[in-house]
Formats: sequence, structure tokens, C-alpha cells
Amino acid sequence: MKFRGKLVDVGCIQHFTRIVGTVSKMIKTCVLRITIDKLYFILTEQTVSGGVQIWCELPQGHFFDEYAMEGVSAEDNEIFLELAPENLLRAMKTTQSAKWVKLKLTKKHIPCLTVEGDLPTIGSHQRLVVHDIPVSVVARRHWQDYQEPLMPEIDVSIAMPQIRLLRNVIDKMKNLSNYVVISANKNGEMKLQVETDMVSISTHFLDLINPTTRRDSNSQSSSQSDRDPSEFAEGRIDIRRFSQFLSSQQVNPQRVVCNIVENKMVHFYLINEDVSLQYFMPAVAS
Amino acid sequence: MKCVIPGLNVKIFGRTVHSLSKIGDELYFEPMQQGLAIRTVNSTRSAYAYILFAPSFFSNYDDGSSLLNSNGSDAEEEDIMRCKVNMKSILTVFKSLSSIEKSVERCKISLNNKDSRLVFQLYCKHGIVKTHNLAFIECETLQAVFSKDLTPNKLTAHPKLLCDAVVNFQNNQEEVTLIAKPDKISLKNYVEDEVDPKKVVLTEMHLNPKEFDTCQLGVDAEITFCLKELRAILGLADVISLPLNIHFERAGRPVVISIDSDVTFEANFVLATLADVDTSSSQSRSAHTSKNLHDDEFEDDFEEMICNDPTVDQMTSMKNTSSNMKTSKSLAPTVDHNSPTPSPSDQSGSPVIPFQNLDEEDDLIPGTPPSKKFKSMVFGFSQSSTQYESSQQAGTVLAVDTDEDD
Repeated sequence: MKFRGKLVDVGCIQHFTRIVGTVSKMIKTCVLRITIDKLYFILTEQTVSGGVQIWCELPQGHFFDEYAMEGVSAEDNEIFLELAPENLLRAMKTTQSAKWVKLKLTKKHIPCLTVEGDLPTIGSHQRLVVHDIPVSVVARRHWQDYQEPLMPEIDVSIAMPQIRLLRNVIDKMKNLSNYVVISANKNGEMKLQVETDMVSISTHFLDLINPTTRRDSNSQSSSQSDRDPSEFAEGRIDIRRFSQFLSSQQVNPQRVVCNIVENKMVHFYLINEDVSLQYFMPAVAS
Repeated sequence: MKCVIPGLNVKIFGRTVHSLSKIGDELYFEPMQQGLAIRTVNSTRSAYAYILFAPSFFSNYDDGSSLLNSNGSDAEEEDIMRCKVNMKSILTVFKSLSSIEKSVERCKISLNNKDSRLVFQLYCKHGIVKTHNLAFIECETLQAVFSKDLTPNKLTAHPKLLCDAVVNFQNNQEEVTLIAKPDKISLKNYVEDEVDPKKVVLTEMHLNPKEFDTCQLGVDAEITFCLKELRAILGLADVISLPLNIHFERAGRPVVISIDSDVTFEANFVLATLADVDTSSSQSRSAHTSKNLHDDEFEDDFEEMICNDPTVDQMTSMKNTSSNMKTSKSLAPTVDHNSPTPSPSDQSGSPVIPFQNLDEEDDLIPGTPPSKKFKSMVFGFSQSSTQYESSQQAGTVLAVDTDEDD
């Protein structure tokens, strides 16, 4: 197994750091999957601990100037590493102004993801900083645990308003209840609701867009078109996790799509030209 | 004692207090003829700071000795007021440095003998005067004995370089190892043996020796010391923007960081280093060898590290204390030692301190985690409470190989 990548452009270094920062705010440990053309940060949580799934993928070509990897074997040309994104973030943060940053899979006393940066100096001297982040290599037989989650048939798909706006609303609601009901219809309306014995609050967002992705128009077109446009599909989700998800976003996404599978799952899809993040939250029965 | 700090220097003084507050819990004041000395030591006695503000630092400086001479004919040097104040209380005086910088025109430090208070008066704009009366405890000089001019290795660097190097380490990192070799100066985080390697990020920073203003390396060295204190020092040095000198020898010997390029101001910080038998080349002899040798070595280190005898009673002055010693060459921290490590053979036949203390050392040093192998420096305290501790710590020092020839 070999992996080696070099980031040269300052913008790429910072963007990559922001992505790692976003991931590290959401989860303590994740799996980094390295393939020939993409990097993935993956979380598959057990149902008992919330069942959240995260799937973040970035094409290596957008970030790395040099990139070489060699997987377990020619057929399974991939690498799965378990690591704490926090460690990677701290390492990346020290190399924000570096001339270049290298990421390498190394074998020290234990397997490490080595982050090496050439820091700027006044003279022409080289000032190197090296961080060895301990990782554990995921065995081939466990790879199946980290496959892209399957999306069940979507009832309503809606483009969400700005994340900052949502965060303000959710942070206030967080004090009232542990769960929020998120619902949307095909008329571009979205609702966030919390209910307690004393009070019931709902925030309405109007004039949103219902995106029609290719996925919708093919396989799921039937279920989507059958729906009454004014009928709301809803999902009840853990408000703390939702708030954490909203506040951890450091990359300003071009579009945030919320897909609701009635009372089963809420799926957030953050799309950027060079990175996409999917966040799957199971709906909780009330 | 009465002195007035002009507006520009109040910030430096305040910065110094802030920096020292990150090291120790008490601040020791001693007005001397050559200036006002403030000192502190941390609770585990592995770090010591000594700052001397020359009379030229002040717009008006009176150490109080002239008053004593005029009052009583038998006034001796030891009658000069030496005191310590709680770090928290003095920190409140210089709490907000930014507002001090903006508004304070001068700061007067004086002693109120009647009420036994150390008085800080901040003269601010618009005629506002803020007066802080701090309670103090009389004490003896806090003295660590170290030599910085005879160490084989010396690095001089602008604080910016060291700040840039230190930011690469995580905030919760406790110790850092400095590896000095002629072709490369490296800093890496020190990881204790018992920590799970799967949980620790190893960070290493490589610097070209040419980046240092001076880089004199007599011997290759690998020393480990606390990052917290280094950060405190850098916090001060970065503000006053004067070069830092790092004097060091080898693992187990204290590292001295000094700022001495300004005439009005001199700072010395002494940090204990970890005596790591495994990593240091000069420590290739195992611990049991040094155990066998330690009465000779005891004398050896005693000469160098200690400047007070634990049996001296509380009221004995520093001066008398040192005269109780066989030699008094190691009195002041800035005094050069004749030789940093007299060879054991020179000292044979003159053991001074009872040897049984050594067995108790681990149980008796408060606040010292047993796993850490930090050697402590010994201070010239005359207070009986600390004396015993000092002698215990002398034991810690002694049990380590002092032979530097290999």
C-alpha cells in the first residue's frame, strides 16, 4: 500500500483544510478512503448511537498537484484508513502558509499519515514541519461497512435556505426540545417545528426551489410526480446533531439540498464544484 | 523602596508580570543596587525566572538602602526589603495590558511600612490614580544557581523564529524536545512511554542552523523541557522583540533562556530538562551506575546547583547561608562559575549532606508525577518549609549521571 499526495497551491491547501475542519467538527473518528481519483471521508454510525452516516467525497485532481497511490492489490486498488480528523486538521492548520504540503502514508513504529509542510522563511532556508498522525488500516473484509449509503426513494427534495439562517433558527429551537420536525412539500415550502407541552413553534420558509435531479427523473419519477405538490413530507430528527451539522460547515456550499423520505430519513446533500458532502440522518419516531 | 516606571516601560513591566504569572504562583521582589529584581519559581520547581530591571529602566529608582544607612548605623544588606506577593493579586494590577498601554502615564511602586503593603500606583490620563495595596510576605532571596556562559551550546534567535516553531505544536502538548546537531536544529513533541502511540500525533520541526542569529554547538544535545514555560517566555520576548539566547548542555542539565541585549532589562529563565537515559547519548550510562557513584556526584552537583544549606535556620540571610558552604562561588545567578562540573575526584572526601534523603525523594516531592524524570533545580531558600524540599530535590539531581566527558 502506498499513498502520496502533494498540495502546492495555497488556495488548495486552505480549501482542503476547511473540508477536514468540517469533517472534524462533525465526528471524532472517520474513515479516509483513498482511490485512484477520489478521496472520501466516511462515517457509518451504529444505529444505537444515532445512525448518522456521512459521505464526503473530493476528486483528488482538484487539490493535489502530485498524487500517487497503490492499493492493497490491483483489483482492490483502494486504501481505507481510520483516523481522527481532528489530528489531521491540527496538522493542516500549521501548514496554512506552507509552500507545499505533502500527505504520505508512512510506516513508522505504527502506520501513520504523515503531513509534511515546507514553511515560509525570510531567507532561502528550508523549514520543515512533519506531523505523524497515527492511523489504522481497515482490513479488506471490513470495506463493505464503508460503502456509499443507499438512498431510499425520496418523497420531497428541496433546496434549503442559507445554512447560517437555518443555524440561527435551530440554535434557538435547540433550547426547547430534543427533536425537530423538518418537513417540505413540492411547492417550495419548508417547515421546521418543535413542540413541547407548553409551546409549539414552527418556522416556515417559502419560495424555495424543488430541484429535479437526474436521479429523480429516472427511477423515482413515479413516486415524486404522484405526490400532491402541497402535501408535506416530514422527518423528525435529533436537533443537536442537526445543529452540530449546521455549525460545522466551513465550506460555503453552492447548493444544499434536503431530501426527505417520509418518517424514515432526512438526507442533506451539500454540493460544491470540487467537493460534495452527504449527511444522512435517520428519522426518529415520536 | 520607591521607584517610578515611565509610561513606555509600564507595558514591558506588565508583560513581564503576565509572563511570570504563567510560571509561578508567587512573585518575589527584591530591590537591589543594580536594579529591581523580580523572580518566580513554578510549583514543581522545574522552572525559575529572574528578571532584573536596571535603574535606567525607571525614571526614578531608590532601592531603599540609602534610607537604611541614614537611619541606623547597623543597617546591613539583609535589612533590605525582600518580599513575595501573590501572583493573582499583582496580576490584577496589570490586568488589561491594552488599556494600560493607552492610559497609564507612569507607575509608582513603593513600600508602605506602616501597613506592610506593597503599593502600586498607576497614574493614568485625566489625573486618575489607581492605587493597589498588595499584602506581602517577607522572604529571602529566591535563587537558582546556574551558569549560562559556560554551557557548550548556545543558540540565539529572534523570538519570531521560535514562536513560528512552537505554534506547530498542539496546545495540550506538555513537553518539547530540542535536538541540536550542527546541520539541523529540530524540535519535536515529547511523548511519554506509557501513552498509547496510536493516539498521539508526533510533530517534528526542522530548522536550518543558519536561521539562528548564532548557533554555537559544542556537543550534540537532545534536551526535553516544558513547553508551557517556553510559551510564557516567548510571550514576553515576542512583545519586547529582543533576541533570545538559549544556553544548554545535555539532557538532565538545566537550559537557560536569557534576554540580555537591552541595557535596562535582563531576563533569565532556567528550565529543568528531562534526564532521559534512553535518548541522550551523553546518558549512555545506566541509572544504576549513577546510583553507585552518587556520593561523589552528590558533592559535584551540590557545588553547582545548590547555594543554600538545608540546615540553616529561617532567619539566616542569604549571605550567611552561602558562607556556611564550603564555597560560595555560586551565589548570584549571573555570576560565572569557575567550572560547571568539577570532576568528582576533586571533591572526594568532602561530602556534606546526609545521604539517606535520597531514598525518600520520590515520596516527598509534592506535585511531581513519578513517571516524569525531571530534575529540579535547587533554590537558595531560607524558609524552613522549603528547605526540606530543597534537600530532597538535591537528591533528585544527585542520582543522575553527571559525567559529561563521554
